[in-house]
Amino acid sequence: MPVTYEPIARSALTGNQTDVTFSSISSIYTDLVLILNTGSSTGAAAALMQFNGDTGNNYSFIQMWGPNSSTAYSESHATASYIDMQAVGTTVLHSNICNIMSYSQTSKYKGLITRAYDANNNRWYQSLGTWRSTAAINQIRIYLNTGQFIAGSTFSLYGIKGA
Amino acid sequence: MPILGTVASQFSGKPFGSFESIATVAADSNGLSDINFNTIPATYAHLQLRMNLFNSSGTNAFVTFNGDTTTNYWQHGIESYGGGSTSVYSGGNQYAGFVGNLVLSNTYPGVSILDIFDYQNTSIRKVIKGSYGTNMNLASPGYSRNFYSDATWGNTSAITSINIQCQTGVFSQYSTISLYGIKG
Repeated sequence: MPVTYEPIARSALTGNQTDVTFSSISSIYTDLVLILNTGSSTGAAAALMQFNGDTGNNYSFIQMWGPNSSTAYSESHATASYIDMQAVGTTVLHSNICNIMSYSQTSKYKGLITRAYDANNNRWYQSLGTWRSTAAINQIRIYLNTGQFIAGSTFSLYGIKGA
Repeated sequence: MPILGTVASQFSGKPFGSFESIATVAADSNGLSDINFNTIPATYAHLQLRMNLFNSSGTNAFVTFNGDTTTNYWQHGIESYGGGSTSVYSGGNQYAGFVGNLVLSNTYPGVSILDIFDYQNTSIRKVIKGSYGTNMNLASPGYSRNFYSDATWGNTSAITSINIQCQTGVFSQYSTISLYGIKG
């Protein structure tokens, strides 16, 4: 069977940085997997994501999260200008994994699932999102809703190719 | 190359070596009422099923193993409808399969990732962890869904086949299901 789950690109920050962009993403894979381990210069923040430079209100996502109590919560965000992956804190202890399905398909909208862990607040998150575009994803920008990613943050992009 | 970015080709061609593609099925213009992966190799430790599905009826997808369509599956998890709260759900012994309540649309993709652990182990029942749902750009509670679940197939047989059935109608064109094997 063909081996897959290929590393496409990785960025490890040596200083604070506002955003990271993966560009010229090959269309040869079936799905993409983006893994972040990040911290924020301003404390609690959320990691946001846009595709192909689209800053319009073409994104939507449902988040649910479990705080360190017995109750879990959710929010629905429609007509947003980004996908919120959540969970960035003061240190590089916060992880996100985002699966972007059928990203190179040019006839349908794109769906994705992200999961995150907030070590400062002991919370988990899962977001399910849609980018309402039929364009193949060839660029991913990751940035924060406040502050900068701090040195030591890592961003890894993988491709998974179905047989 | 963007100033703050990374050109996404620096590592291409260097696969890990333990994650292999077994098979992919994509629906054409006729659609598919169900999808079968038969004769799954026994050379892996775990399986991963990745689905990107469309359906014009707004329906569910059900996954069953080895042709077992009895109420032999348990599913427990948490679901978000997009409102201010979530609910815990339990599908103990009532579904002939799982991945229920995945609301499918012909416009918005129903996405699903299922990890099937120790699928060859004949001493244990099989455990499946899943994240799945559909986001339909709704600001208020509606038909968008976000699920995280753990499931069990109450059988100690090695999994040799997987069936994904569309509850109503067909998985429409551009639906894609891929099965992967992860070596131990």
